[in-house]
Amino acid sequence: MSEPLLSEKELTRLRRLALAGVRVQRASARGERATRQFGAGQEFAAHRAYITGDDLRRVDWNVYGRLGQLFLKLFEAPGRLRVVIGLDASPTMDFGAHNKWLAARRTAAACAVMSLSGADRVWLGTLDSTPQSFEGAAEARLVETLSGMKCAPAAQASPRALLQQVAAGGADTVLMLLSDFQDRAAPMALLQECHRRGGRAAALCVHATEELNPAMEGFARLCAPGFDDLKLRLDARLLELYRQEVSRLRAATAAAVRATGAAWIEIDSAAPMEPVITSLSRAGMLASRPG
Amino acid sequence: MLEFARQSWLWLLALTLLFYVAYLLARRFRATRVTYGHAWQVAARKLRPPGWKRLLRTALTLLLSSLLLTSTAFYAAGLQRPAAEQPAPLLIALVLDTTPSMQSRQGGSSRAQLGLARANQILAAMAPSDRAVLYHFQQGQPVGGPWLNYQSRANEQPAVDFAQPDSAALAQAVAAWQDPPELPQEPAPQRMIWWLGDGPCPGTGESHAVPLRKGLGGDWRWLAGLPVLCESFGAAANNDALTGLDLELAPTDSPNLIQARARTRSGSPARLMAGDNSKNWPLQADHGVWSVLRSDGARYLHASTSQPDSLPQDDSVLYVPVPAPALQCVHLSFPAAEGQANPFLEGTLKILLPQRQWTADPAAADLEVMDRVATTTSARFAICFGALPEAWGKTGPAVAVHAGMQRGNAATDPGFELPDLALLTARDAIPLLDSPLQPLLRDPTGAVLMAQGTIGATRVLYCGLIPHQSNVLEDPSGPLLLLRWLQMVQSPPGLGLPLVLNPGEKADLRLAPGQVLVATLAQSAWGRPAGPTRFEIHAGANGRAKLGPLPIAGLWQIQDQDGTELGQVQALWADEAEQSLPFTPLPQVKLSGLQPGQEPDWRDLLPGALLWLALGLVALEWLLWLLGVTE
Repeated sequence: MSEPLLSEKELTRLRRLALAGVRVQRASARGERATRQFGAGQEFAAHRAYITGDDLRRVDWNVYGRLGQLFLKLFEAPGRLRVVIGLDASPTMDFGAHNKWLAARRTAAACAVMSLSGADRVWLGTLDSTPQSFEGAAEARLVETLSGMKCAPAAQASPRALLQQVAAGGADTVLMLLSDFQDRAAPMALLQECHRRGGRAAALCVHATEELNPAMEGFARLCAPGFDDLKLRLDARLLELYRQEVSRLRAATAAAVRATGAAWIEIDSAAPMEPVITSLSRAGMLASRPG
Repeated sequence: MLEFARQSWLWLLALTLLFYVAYLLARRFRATRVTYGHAWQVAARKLRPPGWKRLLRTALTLLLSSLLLTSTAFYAAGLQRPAAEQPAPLLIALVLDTTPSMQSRQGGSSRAQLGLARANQILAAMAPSDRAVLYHFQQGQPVGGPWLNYQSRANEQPAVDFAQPDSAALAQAVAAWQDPPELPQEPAPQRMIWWLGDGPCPGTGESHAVPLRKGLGGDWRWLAGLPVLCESFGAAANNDALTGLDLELAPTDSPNLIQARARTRSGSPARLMAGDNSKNWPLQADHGVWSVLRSDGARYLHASTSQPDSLPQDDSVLYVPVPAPALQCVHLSFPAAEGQANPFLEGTLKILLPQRQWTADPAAADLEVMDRVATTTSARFAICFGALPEAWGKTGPAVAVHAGMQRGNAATDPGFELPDLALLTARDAIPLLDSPLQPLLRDPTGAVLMAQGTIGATRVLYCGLIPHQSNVLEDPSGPLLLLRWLQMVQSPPGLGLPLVLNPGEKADLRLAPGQVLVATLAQSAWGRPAGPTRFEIHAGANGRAKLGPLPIAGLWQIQDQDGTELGQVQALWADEAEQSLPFTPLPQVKLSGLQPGQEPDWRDLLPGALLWLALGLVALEWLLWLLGVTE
């Protein structure tokens, strides 16, 4: 049985966090975001299990009477975000001793959990698939969905469905894009669309240590997805050239991403969740949560 | 056109194949999954040479290595001109003549030494493919050594052989050779005999060049189908030799005179010298004329030719031991207080020893008679009555001796027949207490009354019965005892052993039935001659045995089986054919003719060229690798 993407401890921590959108940030700046989204509106949105520190006034006592368990009644707040999480499932993502695809899914799960705990609506999908919608108490289903996602063998991805979701969300959209940006076309299209619609976006670039700093030598046939095999005699000079080229590519990608107004966050596939959250926070992608 | 001398080494060519396999295995590109394919493409594009260059590099590496390994394999396998085109190797029997005439010297070196030096020159001049065996003769039969090549040298001079060399046996031995295993069988090796001597060349046939090698001219013969090339050494020379020496008793009244007669090859007078330990004196020695050798102290005889010549070994007999002269001079000691000797004793001795000199000088005496007086003497014989020098033994207090009470001592043979001494009586007899002498007579108490033996160089007879106090000179048994003892000590050993054994002579020996003697060569002027130096002489049932002729000239020691020396015999050698120092001048062969006279060909350079090619390729590949041209 495979390990869960996120441990219970990580989940507990993540549930206290929330992503920040453009409009919400503005409201927050005015003091509107000081109260919780849930309960602030009149329309019932969902139930959520009670955790220590929640406002007891929000507890659905009817449910408690029937089930004997504490659940909070969540109401759709006026500043509800539309969080679109796009995962790059290209073959290059399935790489590394600490697998990049796994790291991407863990990060996506973290973002989704934070969103769901903030009563935001989450759209989750790979770049070439139709995204699924998750809201309310769909955390378990979302994690399960992420666990079952696999890298696509095809290299070329067409993010049409995700583009539609980004376009539909407008300024309430928060785009969390997880990719290694080795094929930049689809991610950049999403980021530009999000920027054009006034949404907020973060590009989470996942990389493995051995692809940035490979330790190989001798004769090798290099098999890179999307490229012809390359027979090379690997030596220090060649590796140095490769490292320089990779740095140049990554710098160019970062610049292009930042040009779209999106945050550029680099994630080491071997790193734990803590620095990822820290990076998100530093990039201003997390909002403070009332209560 | 070309062939491999060591074909089995061609397996080294498999190294080339092995190199290819190793090269391909080392260059195996292991599949490795990577990302950032574009970055790899860019890096490779910047560093990787174009395809044609990579192909050229691989091809050059493989070509140079293949050439290197192939040339090494060809060198090891001995790529060369076909052996059939090369001159046949020579198998040479280098025969050193070991007859005595080869010992003659002219100009400081003997013919044998010149022959050995020539053999070494021939060895050095041989082609690398040629082989030689050095032969000499022992008792006429050829004796060969191991295979020698152009790097070998012969250092040991073979021994002189008095027998005539058997050239037919030599040819047979050479024909029976098995070719050295390392020589190629194509073309077949050719055998020849190279005779290094002084006499005529063995073999028959016209003297003409045998085409074994171009330029190898000389005096060729044929011996049992084998070509023989002869060379001779030295020069013609005269040689005189001592061919005979006779010694016998002089036909005079004196039993102490020996006469000697020497014969020389040239008939010229020989030179005879007699001597003792301190001086020599010459003898008259005309050829074949007897010379009387005075026996007064002469211990040896030295005979030689009068003039030195080129073969000194046969010119002289260095040492002939002359038998000691018989008893000649007598001295009688007696107590000084008596003023004169016992006349009865003196008279008896003069009867027993007629025609002897009586001297007053004890040092000149052959026989010292001590009448109750112990005198230290160097005489060869001594008769002691009642007194004995302390060094010879001790005497005890006087005892009375009665007739019929004595008993002879028959335990050991005294060497003469002991008379019946039963009637001897004495008022005071002096017994012998402690002495190495052999008892002859004892009294009833066991006291030794008479004894005899050898102490040092003196034969001693002790008689405890004093003449004027006993009837030892009156009873016939006493003088008979003295007479028999004196006869025994004066007689020679009695084997019939001659002093000199002339060439071809045999000597009749008188031994005990079944007795075995051993004759051993003790000294020879010929150094270490070939042939047996030890013989056993077995007497027949009648005690007769023959000694000689002895095969080696020199001094032979005759011993019994216990190792006791019984005498010495000088053996002389005479061989007119050898002592005439025959010499046949033959032309010296030009040794340069031993080298194969083959036209030079580029194929002769192949071994060196292959080696240099391999070395050059190593250097070239290393250089190209440094420059990055090859891998």
